[in-house]
This record gives sequence, C-alpha cells and structure tokens, in this order.
Amino acid sequence: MIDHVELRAGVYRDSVTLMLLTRTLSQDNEISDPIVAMATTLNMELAKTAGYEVPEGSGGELLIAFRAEEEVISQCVQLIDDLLNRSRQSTVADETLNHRPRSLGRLATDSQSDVALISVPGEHAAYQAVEAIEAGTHPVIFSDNVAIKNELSLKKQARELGLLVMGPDCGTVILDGVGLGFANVIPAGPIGLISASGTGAQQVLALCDHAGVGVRHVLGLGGRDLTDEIGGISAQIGLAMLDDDPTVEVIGIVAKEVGPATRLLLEDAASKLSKPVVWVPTGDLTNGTAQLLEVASFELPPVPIWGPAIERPNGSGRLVGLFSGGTLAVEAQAIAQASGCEAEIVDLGADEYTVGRPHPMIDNTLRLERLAEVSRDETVGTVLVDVVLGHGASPDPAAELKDALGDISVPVFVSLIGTNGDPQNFDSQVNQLTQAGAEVHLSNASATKAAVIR
Amino acid sequence: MTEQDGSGLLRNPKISAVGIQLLSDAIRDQGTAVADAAWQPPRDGLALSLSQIAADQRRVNANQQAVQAMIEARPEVVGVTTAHQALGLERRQFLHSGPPISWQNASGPLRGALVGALLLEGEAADADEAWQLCEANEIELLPCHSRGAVGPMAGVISSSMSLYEVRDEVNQQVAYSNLNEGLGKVLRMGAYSPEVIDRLRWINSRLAPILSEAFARQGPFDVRALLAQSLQMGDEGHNRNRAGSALFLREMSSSIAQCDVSSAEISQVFDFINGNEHFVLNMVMPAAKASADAARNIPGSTMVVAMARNGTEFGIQVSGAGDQWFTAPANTPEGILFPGFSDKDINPDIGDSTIMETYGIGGFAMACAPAIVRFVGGSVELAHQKTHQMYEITLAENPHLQIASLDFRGTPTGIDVAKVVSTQILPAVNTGMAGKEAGTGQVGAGLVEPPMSCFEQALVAVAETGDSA
Repeated sequence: MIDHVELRAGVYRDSVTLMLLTRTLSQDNEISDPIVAMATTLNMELAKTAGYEVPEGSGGELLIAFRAEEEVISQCVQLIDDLLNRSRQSTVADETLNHRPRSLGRLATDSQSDVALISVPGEHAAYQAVEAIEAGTHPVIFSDNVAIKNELSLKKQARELGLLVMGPDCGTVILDGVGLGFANVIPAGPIGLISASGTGAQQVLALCDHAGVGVRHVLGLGGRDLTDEIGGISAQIGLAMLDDDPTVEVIGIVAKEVGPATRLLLEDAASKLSKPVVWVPTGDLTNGTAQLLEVASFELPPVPIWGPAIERPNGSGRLVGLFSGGTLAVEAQAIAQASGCEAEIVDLGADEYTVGRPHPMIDNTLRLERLAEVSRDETVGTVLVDVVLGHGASPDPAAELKDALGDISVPVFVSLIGTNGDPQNFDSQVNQLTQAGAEVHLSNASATKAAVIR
Repeated sequence: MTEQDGSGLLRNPKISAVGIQLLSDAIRDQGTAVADAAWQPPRDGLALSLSQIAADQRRVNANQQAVQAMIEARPEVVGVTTAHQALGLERRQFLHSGPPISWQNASGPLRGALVGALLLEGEAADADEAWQLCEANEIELLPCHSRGAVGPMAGVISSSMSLYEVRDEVNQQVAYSNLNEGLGKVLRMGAYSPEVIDRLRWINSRLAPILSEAFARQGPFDVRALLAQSLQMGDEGHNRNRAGSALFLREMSSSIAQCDVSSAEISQVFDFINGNEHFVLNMVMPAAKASADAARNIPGSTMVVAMARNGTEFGIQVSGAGDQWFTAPANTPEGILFPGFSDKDINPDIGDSTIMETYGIGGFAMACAPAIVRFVGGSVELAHQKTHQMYEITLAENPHLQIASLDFRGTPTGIDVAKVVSTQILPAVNTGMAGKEAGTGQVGAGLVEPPMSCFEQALVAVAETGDSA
C-alpha cells in the first residue's frame, strides 16, 4: 500500500457531497482511509492525524488522500474523478444562463429569483444572505453556526426591504407546495405554518396529511427567531404574509423557546390578523396539531400504529432514544421525563456529532454504530428512534436501519415522520421497519409514550 | 407592492441556491428549477472580514458614491506640459509605475528605464555612470500615483519629460502621463540605447510643442467620448488602442496641420502617430486616473481606486483605506512573444496601465475586442466570458461606455475587493510584456492575473475601519 495525496486548486464541492463521496470510496475494497475534502485547516489536520504527508495549500483547494496498492492508484484516481464529476452533472443540465455566476447576488439578479437557498458553511452564510437581500431576494438560510448578532442585523436589513429571512438553521421550508431543505410532500390546503423548528414542522405535516388536510406554506424561521434577542422579526413578517395570502385560512406557529416579550408581541400581532392563529408548542406536537386542525374545522383521526403488538416495556433498564430530529428528541425527552422513566435521549443531528459527517437524516452511519452498541448493552430496556422522510432525507432510511434494529432484543419503537406522497414510499418504510420487529408510530409523542418503561 | 408582499415568495417562487448540491437536487426532484451559484470558498479566515463588510452600514452608500463619481467623470486632455512645470519634479527625482520600490528591488525594465531617464536628463554621460548613480542611491524614486500621474510599463517620468494634462471638471480632478514612444525598443520597456534617447528628445522638442499648439487650437479633447467610440470599434482601451489612436489622429489632424511648422515636420508627426497603435494609451490612462481619483478616500468603500505594478510587486489602493498600498509579488504574464524571445525573457507584471481595468475597461471590456484573444490563443467566447465574469466583481455598469456585442450593456465598473474575495474571481488584466534584462524592450503581450493576496489584505483593512470590527 502506498499513500496518494494531492491538492487540486479551483475545484470546489460542498461538504455533504464530499462526505457522501468519501463514504462511497470507503466501501471500495481497493481503497483504504480515503479523505476527499476541501483543504481547510481542520481537514488538513484530519489528514495529518490519519498519517498522510500533506503539502502546504492556501486552504481553498480540494484535498484527495487515500491508500492503495501501487498498481491501482491511477484507477482509484479515475474513480474519484468520475464521482466528482457525477455530482456536478445535474446542475449543468439545468443551466439556462450562458455563464454560471459564482456569486449568489449576481445569480439571483440574473435569474430574477424570489428566494435564495443558502447552505454554505455557517461562517460564510451571513455575507451570502446580504447578497441575496441586496438582490431583493428572500433568503432561506439552511446553514447553522451563524452568529446571533449577524442574524439580528440580517433580519433588520431585510425588514426594511419587506423581505423575509428564513433561518439561520432553517431545516424545513415549503413555498406554494415546493419544499426547500427537509420537506415532506403534502397537497396544498388551507393551512399555512410559520415554524421555529424543522422536524417540528415535519411532524405537523405528517399529521395534517394523515388527517387529509393540506398545507400550502411552511415559513421556517430558524430556532432563535422567537427568542427575545431576535424578537420574532421574521415571525411577524411571516404572519403578515400568510394573512395576506387568500389561499391560507388558518395559521399555525410551531414554537419552541419563545421569549416572554416576543410572545406578547406575537400574540398582539396575531390578534390583529384576519385569520385565526394557533400555537403548536414543540412540547407536544401531536396535541398541538390536533388543536390546529380543530380550529381549521377538521379532526385529527386516531394516530396510527403499525407492527407487532409489543408488550409494554416494564421492569428494568433505561430508555435509549437515538434521534435525527432535534425537536423530536426534545419532545421525547420531555415526555419521558414527565413519566418518570430513566431515559437517555441523544440528538445525533447536534453539532457535536455532525463534524466531518453528514446529518443523520441524510446518512445513518453514526446511528448504526450507536444501535450496534445498544444491542450489546444489557442496561438498555427499550429503544426509540425517529425516521424522518421527505425531500432531502435519505432515499431509503428503513433499509439502512432494519438490520441494526432487528439485532436488538429489547422492544424497539419508531417515530415515522412522513406523508403518503413522500419520495421514500411510506408503506415500504412501514413494512421494512415492522418486519425488523419495531412498533411504528406516526406520532413521536405516541411512540415515546409507548416506549417509556413503567 | 405592499411593504411585506409575499406574492413572489408564495406563488410559484423562482429559486436560486448556493451550497449543498443535494438540497438543490431535492428541489429539482419536485420538478422545480433551481439556479445554482458556482461558489468557491475564500481562503480560511476571511469569512469574518467578509461578514463585517457585509454588515457595515456605510458600505452600500460609500460604494455607490465612489463608483458614481468615477463613472460620471468627464476627463479631457487640456494640453501638454512638463514634469518639472506640472509636478515640480527635479532632475534626479524620478516617477515610476506601481507601488513604492527601491532601486535595489527594481526589476530589469525599471532599472533600464531609470538609466535611460538619467541619460535624457544629462545627469550621466553614459549608461555605466547612470547605473553607478542609481547604485549609490543618488536618485529619488516616487510612485507616479503619489504625484497624480500614471505611466505605462516602467512608467518612468523625469523632470524634462512632456506630459499630457488631463482635467475632469465634474469632480475637479487632474492627472498626467507622458507621451507614448511607440513599440519595441522604448524607454517604458526598459530600453535605453541612443535611438531610444533620441526619440525621447524629439518627443520633447518637436512633437510636444506641436501637440500643445494643436490642443490649444482644438480646445479640450474629450477622452471619454473617444473611448465610447473606440470600444465599439474593436478596442478594449488597454492592450488594443488601434481604433482610439486612429480616431485621435482623425479628430486632431486639422488642428495639427495648421501648426506653424514645415509640412515635412507635420508629415513626420502624422507618421509617428500613425505608426503607433498605442499612441492614445497615454491619454486614456490619465483620463482613467483622473476619474478613479474622484473615488478616493470615501470611508467604508471597498472599491479599488488603483491597481499598479512596479515589475516586482503588484499593488492596489482602495477607497476606504486611504493611500495605503496592498502589495504582493507580481505574477508573470502569459501570451504571445515577439520572434526571438522565450518565456524566460518575460519580466514580472509591470506598469500603471491597470488603471484601465480599475476604470472598467481593458481586460474588463474584452467582449469589445474579440481580436485580443489572439494574444492568449483563446476563443472569442473567452473574451465574452471574461467580461461576464467581471460583472460579478464590480459595483456598476458604466452607461457611457457600452459593449455592442452584449446588447450595449455598460462596461463592468468599480472593482469591489469584497466581491473579488467572496467569488475568488480575479480582475482580468491585458498587458504588454517587457524583457527581464534591462535594455531589452518589449518582448510580447498577453494576459496576467493579479495576486489574490492584495485584495484579501485590502478587505481586512477596510473591515477593520468599521464599527463592527
């Protein structure tokens, strides 16, 4: 085996593309310890730690490092080239401009965009958002790790221009039925949401879809908009926009961590709108959705449960929850705590777990490792996981998880957050999960209540 | 449009995106088009400065003010003067192109030009003596830009040299440059043989007085109007000035012909101008300089007001950072060489002529001058692509200087260091190439890339002047 290390200038791919590419390479028998990443200080350190001798770079290059037998090196480089170019092709096909701009501001102006989806690394997100705003475009900032002071100044700047800043850390947006980020497929309908939580909104979507009620818009705010530091600037603009949209009949606010002053402000703003506004607290999303539907003159039918009738857990052991959705984890934590059950609920989508790897909604590698540990851990009494469907999420998460879930001898419960229209095929997800021995709930609250040990 | 109108957002919105490919693909999977930016991240550590600049309340107005001042300038050649008269230059004071430099760090062409200038001024009897004066630090070197002047290539201006005086009444600015000597063995390329010095003497003693008289008769000569025409005749105003030089001669011929000198001398002047396709360069350069100077010293502005090279370093000055130079080692141009020269003969980038790109033409207006691509062996498409890219790093489009082949779009004007750093697109520069050895002269012409580091340093410096720093 010899080391192959190169730095390529002028080639950029986003981190998710490169992490998925690296994962594909690591499944190749001829390649060991592959690293394909942008040559940031962090990634260069990673490569050094892995024993590679890396040359000096400017930080902007693409780093390629792997080990292989000498005779297959060029073949491996060819494979990497193919994979790098494959990830680019879909954009070339969509290209309508004869020159593809590098800058978001120029692109948004030239293409007369209404909305700009920003998912660059967090430190770069604020100035990209300013470009979007100055081009008269509403920014959706998927990126996290944006300083709150930058968030405040962006939202103030946008407000002056009548623009809505969605995010930062905005996971889910639906605009006139088109999903940006992680979004479920749902028919258009009378409900419009503004949401401080991505997976919280997805739970509401799953339940509305189950009730046969459509949702036309989800305006994601980012998790901090409703704190008193930001004061709900985007929430207020979003409320006004939904109130102006004649197709929206009822407005829901999916809320977590609402500042007291902001709550007063929003309640006052809501009282002046022409449409009813319903708060859906993330502490119990299912209950909140039921109330939202009631105000819209619909009813939430009993939330479905599929799979083997598992004996209710009792006696010894802890509840271990391994989540991809942050709000779902918080909801489960609250419910488990209220029931007095000893629970270890982990949000695998939290920053500490996503350094150098994709979010667990995109890639379950880390969760599979944790599930394997759980299966050997005799102190675990019951296991709870969420499986979130929709655009942006893994194409077949149940297939990724089913063997690991099947290996667990204690009861397993799944919160399956999805709709009938989702690209993963909802029924197939249910079947694979139940065949693995799990009890599957459409409601995270319901799954958690079933999973707690009494 | 109401204040918080969600109509575009909430009805069939048009989407652009930057970042994770998978998220754009997920939108396309829904049958909705997405325009993706081909983003390239800047070097580690610059995101903070870019964010500070983006949040700087002064930026938008400051840049608007800077670029409008430059665009609305109306520079005119008002006459011919001398460096001693106009700039107070003494016999052993010499201006040079680019950021400040010492003789010890000067490259071959600058050294050659200084030797030639000492000979022209009669300060040395021969080249050896001139060289010794320089080695002994008996001369004073100053950047042209520090005295309101610009000079192509080595840019050496000495006390007796004739200068065009360019004035802009709109912004009350004045700028100067020397008279163009032609191609090949010329002082600005570092040549100092007797023919070079003789030609300079002829320019000072015969050409300059005739042009001076002609300008006096003609009245102020509108350089912006000349450029507007020449850009639509295949020039880009930096490395291709054929049309501009021809237009100059056409417009001035009557005034020149009326000068009270022999017809043989008139004929000699016509032949000289006619034989030099860069004749007008030394008028358009100070015109660009006078225009750009009006944009200087605007707090918070990230607009470039000068790019210049001294043959060793590339330097830029930025409106919001005063007269500070941000420098880095100059790159070596690539292009076509005159017969008998090879790549190893090319000196690193040199000259103040990048004032043309600062002004939004030259490499920025390559779409005007498809013939220029022969210098780089590229296609006409390359010329268009360069100009398209320059719109990404500039603040405005100059309505007075239009590009016919782009449906009369204005030239991309006002380089924004923040845009350069955030897009990683460097200004496109067309340039002449000087021989590395002092005394060689011109060896070719081509394209060159400025060093990114100049723009990064300037960005950080302007960011540090802001409130949020």
